[in-house]
Amino acid sequence: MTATARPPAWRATTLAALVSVLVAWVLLCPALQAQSAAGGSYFVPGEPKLGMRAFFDKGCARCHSVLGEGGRSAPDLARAPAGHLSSAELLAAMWNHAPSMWEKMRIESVSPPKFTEGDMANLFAFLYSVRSLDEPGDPARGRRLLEDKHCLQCHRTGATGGGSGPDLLKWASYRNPVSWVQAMWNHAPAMQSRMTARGVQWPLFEGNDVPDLIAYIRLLSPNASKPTYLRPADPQAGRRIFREKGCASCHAIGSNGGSGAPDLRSRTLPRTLGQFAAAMWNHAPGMRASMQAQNIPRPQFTNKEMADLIAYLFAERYFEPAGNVARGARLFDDKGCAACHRPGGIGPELSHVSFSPSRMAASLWNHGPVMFQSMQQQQITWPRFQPGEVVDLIEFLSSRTAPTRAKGGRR
Amino acid sequence: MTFEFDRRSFLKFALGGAAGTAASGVSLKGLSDLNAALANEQVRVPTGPESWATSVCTLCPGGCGLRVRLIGQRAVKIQGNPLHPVNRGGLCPKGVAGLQELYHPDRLHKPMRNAGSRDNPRWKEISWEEALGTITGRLRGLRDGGEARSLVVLDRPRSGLLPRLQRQFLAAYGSPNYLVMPTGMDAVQAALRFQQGITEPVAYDLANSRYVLSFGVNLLEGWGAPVAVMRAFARWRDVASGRRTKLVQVEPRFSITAARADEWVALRPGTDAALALGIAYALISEGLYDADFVREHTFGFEDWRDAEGEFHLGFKSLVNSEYRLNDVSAITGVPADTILRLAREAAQNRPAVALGDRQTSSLPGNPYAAMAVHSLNALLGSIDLPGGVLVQQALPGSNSDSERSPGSPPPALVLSAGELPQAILSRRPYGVQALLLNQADPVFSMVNGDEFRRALREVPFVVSLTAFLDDSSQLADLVLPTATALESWQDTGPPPAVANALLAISPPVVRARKDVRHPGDALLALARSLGDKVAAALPFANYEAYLRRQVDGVFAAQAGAVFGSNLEETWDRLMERSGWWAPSYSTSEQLWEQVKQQGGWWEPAYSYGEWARVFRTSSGRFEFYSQALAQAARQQARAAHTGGSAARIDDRACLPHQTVLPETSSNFPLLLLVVEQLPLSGGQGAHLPYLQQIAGEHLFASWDSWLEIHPETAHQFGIEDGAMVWVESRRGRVQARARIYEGARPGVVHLPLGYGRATGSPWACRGANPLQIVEQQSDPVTGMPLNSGTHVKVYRA
Repeated sequence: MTATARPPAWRATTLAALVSVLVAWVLLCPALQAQSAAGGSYFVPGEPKLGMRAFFDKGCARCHSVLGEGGRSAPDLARAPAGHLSSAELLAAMWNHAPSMWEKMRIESVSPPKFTEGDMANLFAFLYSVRSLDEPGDPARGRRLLEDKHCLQCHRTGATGGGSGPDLLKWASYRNPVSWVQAMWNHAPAMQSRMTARGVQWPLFEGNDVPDLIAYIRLLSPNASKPTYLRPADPQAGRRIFREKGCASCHAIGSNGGSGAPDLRSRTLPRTLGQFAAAMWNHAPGMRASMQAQNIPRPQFTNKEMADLIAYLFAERYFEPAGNVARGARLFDDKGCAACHRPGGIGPELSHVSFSPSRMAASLWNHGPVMFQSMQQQQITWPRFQPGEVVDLIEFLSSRTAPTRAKGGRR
Repeated sequence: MTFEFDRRSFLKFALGGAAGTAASGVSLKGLSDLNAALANEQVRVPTGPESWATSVCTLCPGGCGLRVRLIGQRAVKIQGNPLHPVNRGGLCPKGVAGLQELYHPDRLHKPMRNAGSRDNPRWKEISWEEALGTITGRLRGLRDGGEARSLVVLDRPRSGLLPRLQRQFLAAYGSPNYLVMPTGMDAVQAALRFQQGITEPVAYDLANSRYVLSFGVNLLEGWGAPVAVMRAFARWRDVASGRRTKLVQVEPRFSITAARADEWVALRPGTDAALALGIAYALISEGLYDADFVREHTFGFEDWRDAEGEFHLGFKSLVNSEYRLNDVSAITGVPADTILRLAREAAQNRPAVALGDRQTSSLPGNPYAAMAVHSLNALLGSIDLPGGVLVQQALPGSNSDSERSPGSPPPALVLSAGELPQAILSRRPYGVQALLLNQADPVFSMVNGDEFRRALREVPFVVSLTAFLDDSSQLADLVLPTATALESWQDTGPPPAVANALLAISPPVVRARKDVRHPGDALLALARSLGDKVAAALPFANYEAYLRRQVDGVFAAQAGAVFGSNLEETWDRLMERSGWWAPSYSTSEQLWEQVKQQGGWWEPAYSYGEWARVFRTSSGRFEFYSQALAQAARQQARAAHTGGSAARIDDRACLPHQTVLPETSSNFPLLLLVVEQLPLSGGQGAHLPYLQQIAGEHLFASWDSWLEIHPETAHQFGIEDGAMVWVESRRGRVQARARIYEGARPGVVHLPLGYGRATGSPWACRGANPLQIVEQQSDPVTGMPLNSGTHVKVYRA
């Protein structure tokens, strides 16, 4: 195995149980959590609920919010930065913005919080989880979408709209975009035929389109206040579904699976569970054609199966691809780390430390302010990292530690 | 450590307090007597292991969650339950006084039968079996005689499941007559009924409001859920979190709320509607209103024509023609530039919310004024959106069918409790043969208490469920002693002004100290005893079993969460808003156990903007011009013009407007406004010494009624601070101690609500009941008692 093909050191602990992460903890009920812990079938790099506690207790919520909960003077971390964020990307974002955060804290006479590695793993789990949640929709936009996407040519909403499709108010109580997309997916072939016959273009949904539509349709129903939610999803079951429904025939996850369709660990895939489900809808005609060509039966999903499948795919995306030790070594020099973190340097030597994103983030907060101050005195610029660079750097640093490090801890 | 009074020392304490008050006019003497009583041998040091239990407070409709510390079997301390979403560990003085309620020496011990007459009652203790047997016999007789509808239940305002149980009982028995005593929210509820077409309780998203325009609402003195409001108030001032909400208090008196507000706008009494419409004029004329909201979600803003082509005045034309700034300034006494500034501030600091108008529990306010204030919310786009006016979510599992009589139910006797005495006395539309007062004391608490007294004498069979004898139970045939909150199963729903569906349930904390029962247990025992349909409709061994069944309905809804920490609340809300539900229970039994342990279940997420739910008018919109009022006016007009064409209705009757104020008189030159203090909010709590002590803290005037009077007015009428005075209206006179108060407006005097019971605990019988002299003015449309003030004169006693 070459250095680049080898799983990253910080991932070694996770590969033993591939499926498992955060989304599970967003969605798994405590009973299932207990079962996981007892059975040991799940590996958890962090617990989102504890991460939320850290978010509020450590003072992050004084400035930042998540989906509107918390302070308003700094970005809502459920929305910013945009797009999918893996653990390494979370670390990179935190690292790059740390000096400005410390400066703001200094002005407001607030001491930077300290984190254990466990705290940070939990915080990462929380942020990753909460970023996967869909925001409540905008009904006004949903109303426009319903018209723009020509939904009412076939469907109706109460007394309005066409008669060939079912009344959308039937699903008004369903609050989860995944539930909607699941129903749409199952009926996609029939819908496609009718739309083709009528010359209606296949509607594509982006961003918060599906939650917006749901929000509008919900308002049309007098029984909207009796909601139907999706219950906790199970990524383990999702992995099984991925295999059994034949998804792996075309799709790959990393290096495993087919090559005829996009790699589902791709960073370009959407941020939220609902958006992910909508992407499945968008590609339904193409997938259908491809499956027909390959004589693969088109899978149908129950609500729960769809949720489990997407939870599994999200769990997979938490991790970055393996880093590169050689690139990491170059970065260590190029970014100026080696100037201090060397034998006899003013910073501690890092060769005995096993790193993961959460450990590195904890170190950032615990030692970063002093390090930043020292760098300012020496007029050294605070280094900034791209997410891939963080992975390489961690890979490099971890490669220098004793092999026993992989046994240490679960995070 | 706790204490227990015996009756002798309690009375001694009471007399000592009275003597102290009379001698010095200062309340601290009472406290020293309380301390002296505590130091006596009656103080008992409890023994046994320490434990904590969960309960709920029932001393006001707020229904705060409690944690009760026990030493052995004695409750020794009450504090807030940090898991309860309404109070989050906070507690007001009323909640703390719950221990005095539990160990009060004047509580009733056993059921009692009146062996004397209504005018000269002679109470004889009897068993519960005898009491229930007597009631069963009377109710069977009525039902068998086809007079089931003549049974009336008059309940106190409460949330939770007990109202549902009472309606189910009545429905199975065959009566539609479940009535509730007035609340301070009644005028606002009427406005919501007329303008939004809904009857569910109004709620406010105060925590998220950026600008609060309160028209005399005593926000910090017991309104709504007091602790929840105070939590919101703290949040308004949490500058560190990047927000600062401005509170503007509009009222004639410098109340505690006014004192703590960012701005106090002192207007002439009774002119709230004019001021609200003046602000509306400014919003419209300056183009500051939410035009999108008005266009999309309202009706009657512009002039309009009905299906017959008839022209109708719109809200905009009304305010443009009748409520221009200078006109409103002349009516209200508020400078025009202040009105304009308030409008601009509200428009620039959204979400802004307007509350009111002025209200107390016994005098709910003016529906037209409430409509005027609520119209501001429509103009500001603050209805069913964050920071605005919301509509309380229904508790899952509600089955309204079981609360209605099968088939064609008989017509209701009256629409509101205030109309009950007239119906009883006139026997129209039919007579009342039996009246059940469920912890309701209308003789003391209602402005037409005298009328109630006469009416109760006319009802052949009156039963009162109460923990203490009171002015109404004194006129009953049977008195059934009720348990206090800590002695029985308790449940509360969402309190007033809170939007989220909620069900708090708690088991008894201590064994009942007397032979008392929860009203639910008494009613279920009566249902069993009555048999037939009533027993079949309510097949529950006790109230615990009833509550247990209702929790099944909550479980079936597959939503919400058991009470948890702030963080868990945030978590659950985030999840539900995104369409996920991860409960901590998987069976109804687990839910029941967790509810008992944690204190309750609730729906942490509120779904904003559900227009189909919150606008149930005929237009499906918020109606500046109320078509419901128009329909009622047309019906009245038809009734008045039988056989001929109905007179054209005045559009102003369907639009918010300033009503004509009572005329002044040289004989009664002052205006009396009744005020409410937090310790005695709802007119309740005077029987608890802790609350007596702090009732008039702003004037150091406790333990007795006081009259607030402005120095100029006092000088004009020769009244000195501390002098005993008569306050006399056309209806009668009461005595109080004058307190010079610059916070009172010249020409306006104030008496506190809650004092002056004629019967019951000696503490509750102190002072004067101002409702005895308040002139009864009813809103012609709703029949609701108005809070317009009463003209009085004041002179030395």
